[in-house]
Amino acid sequence: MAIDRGKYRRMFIEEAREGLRALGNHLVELEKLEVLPADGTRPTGHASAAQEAMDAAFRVAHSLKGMGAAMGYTAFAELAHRLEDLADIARQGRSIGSEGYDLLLEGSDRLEELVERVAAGHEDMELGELPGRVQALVARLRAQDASTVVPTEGASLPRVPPPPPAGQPGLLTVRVRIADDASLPQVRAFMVHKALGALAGWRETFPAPEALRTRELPDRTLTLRFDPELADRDAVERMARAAQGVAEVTFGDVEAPPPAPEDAPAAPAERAEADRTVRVRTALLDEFIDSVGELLLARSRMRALAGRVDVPELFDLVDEVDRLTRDLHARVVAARMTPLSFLTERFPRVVRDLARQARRSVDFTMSGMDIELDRAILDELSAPFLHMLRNAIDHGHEGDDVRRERGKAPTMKLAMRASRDRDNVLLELEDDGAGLDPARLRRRAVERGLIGQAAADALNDTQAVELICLPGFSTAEAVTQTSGRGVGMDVVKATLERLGGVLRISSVHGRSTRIGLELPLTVAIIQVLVVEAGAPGSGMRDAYAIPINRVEQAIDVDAAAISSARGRPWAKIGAELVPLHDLSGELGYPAPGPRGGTVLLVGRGADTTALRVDAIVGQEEVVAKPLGPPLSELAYLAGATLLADGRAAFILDPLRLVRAEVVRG
Amino acid sequence: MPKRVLIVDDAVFMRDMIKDIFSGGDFEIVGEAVHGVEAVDKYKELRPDLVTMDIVMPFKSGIEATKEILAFDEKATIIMCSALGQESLVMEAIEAGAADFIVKPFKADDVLAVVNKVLAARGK
Repeated sequence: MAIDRGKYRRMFIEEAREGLRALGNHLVELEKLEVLPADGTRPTGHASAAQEAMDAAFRVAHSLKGMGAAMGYTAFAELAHRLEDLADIARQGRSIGSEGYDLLLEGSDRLEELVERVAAGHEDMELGELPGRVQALVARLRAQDASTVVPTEGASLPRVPPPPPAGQPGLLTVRVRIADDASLPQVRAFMVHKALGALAGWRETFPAPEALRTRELPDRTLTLRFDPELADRDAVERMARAAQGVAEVTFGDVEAPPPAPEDAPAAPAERAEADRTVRVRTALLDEFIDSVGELLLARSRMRALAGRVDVPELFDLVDEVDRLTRDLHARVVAARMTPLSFLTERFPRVVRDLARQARRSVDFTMSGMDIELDRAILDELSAPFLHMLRNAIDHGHEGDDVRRERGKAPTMKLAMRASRDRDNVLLELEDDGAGLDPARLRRRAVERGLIGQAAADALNDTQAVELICLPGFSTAEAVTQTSGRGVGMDVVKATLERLGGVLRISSVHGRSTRIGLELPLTVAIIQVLVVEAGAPGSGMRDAYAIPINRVEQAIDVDAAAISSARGRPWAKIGAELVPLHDLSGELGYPAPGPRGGTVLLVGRGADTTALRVDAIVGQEEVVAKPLGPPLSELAYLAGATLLADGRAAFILDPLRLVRAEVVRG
Repeated sequence: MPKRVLIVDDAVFMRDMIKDIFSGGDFEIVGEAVHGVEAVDKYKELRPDLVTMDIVMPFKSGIEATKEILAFDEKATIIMCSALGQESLVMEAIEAGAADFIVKPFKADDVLAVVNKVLAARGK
């Protein structure tokens, strides 16, 4: 039967227009209901109205997909399909965020354009990367949805049916191959199972029918086993052949050799790889990490205990446990590693859109995105990076004309780079825009009452640049469409520090800005230096843990190397004078005046500071536990942990501890 | 005797397309329904030989309507109209007793092949 295209085209145009009008109305309604505010939360009210609107949006997108596909408008159908997926996620009560909402609106606009093109007599369609963007968001939302694909070694999901249990030899095996041109082969296989599984003697079906709901059918072949005593071979064959979409029915038995290699045709490597994965809840991986952490603690305690008992074999055993635990830790961590591109693949489009909106030209490049990071870290980085990209375009970019006037290329270069440095990853965002003006930043911080004039004057230019990370600091003169999303540089910095990272900002006024995020590859287990504060035997002596990556050096300083100037003590370290702080004093333990002893050098370059401690206990690997309020309010407390000797200890961020006074100003 | 068909789909575009496909065989379209509630009502009223059932529809989905119709008449012959990616839903319908499925975008020959095979198997 030939389809009358003219007639269907008219109907397509009419019904698609109507559907898109409805979709637009549903989206506007959703906006009014504020179900999708920027922070992704949903207010409790309006839930059912919102649910209805989102259900309706999903149905419209679904219908549009079907019509577009029927008309052969593949681009139209593809975009409608992606929007349907997105709306599907939203209607299941999952937040799609402002980004998802914007995509739904943009997609709906684009579909309208396409319909009008068809109405104007055009057939050709071009959609660019919009469907891809929607797809990427859908993939990300689904991935966040509590499961991660973890590669496993060995074949945990066998591609050939397992042999029957011992004592049940000689089951009759029936293989049913679904035709290559049959649609939804899993469903066809499911129907075959339903028909044959009801026959006498049926024992098992592989893959299991439940698995067909979520997995592909390997080699389009369903395998069933029957008890030969009970099964009627002819009936089985007749039923199998009667089913729609069946290409081939073959009989064999379990003793038959597994399918010859040619049965699993060329280039199945990728597929085989995919088959050897299982889905694991992200939460389960977190539990693994927790368990391994506890195991590490137990091992450390055991090692300490072994030191007190004179059993040489015990040391060997502890070493062995040590090695195994490390292996286990490394493997569990590896299971959570995800390439940066998972986060950043949408950034080029984001930058393009932001640049277009701001009417500014930007040349955006990325490199090193294949570097893998702990999924837990990656998930936290999305909002900070989007904020930094917006900052660069909204504030860093001077505007094409201004750049030209200043003798720069009108197009701003914006580069995102990732590189690895041992256990750290360095993520950098650099632009050749306006740069930050230290004088203006100082002025602004004082105007906003964030620091006093004296404190502002005391800041060198490098420190002044970091003022943009103070809560409440914003140089935005105008709120753009993209700003005002509730993330500022203070949040970027806090997020980073919560993850055990460091933020480094450098800028040349008028020339460039570089923001560096130095992150650990993984969270949870960190190397710390255990130190003590408080006088010995005073009953007030406690252990503190300081992340090793925060400590540049630990050295002894003579009392003679300590001097006083500008109202504070300084220590002479080599040829340099650096500010000297006393851990006991900072933490409120009774402490005499400036004194020599063991100091830790923290911070780098002009930031270098000496922190005197009462004792260094040693180096340990600990599991960092986050703090709850009110302790989490104290910026210099990075967490808490249990030490190998059983003592609880706070994990300190030494830089925040010694710099607290800068802000106190 | 031509086979009496009830077409269930919320899009007039799709209903017309299925009507056109059935015009190439020995069928009579006895009714159309635009959502699941109407589908159940019309089935009870018309007792068609065959129902083509869309899945995604307002008020009551095609899956629920299929279950209700089969609860009312276990011999009802219902063919699900599916899109790619709805495997799990189609299986649910098949489990509930739907006879078969066709996949959008419809190809006339494929649709007729499935429908004729199903009707033949059921002696209709």
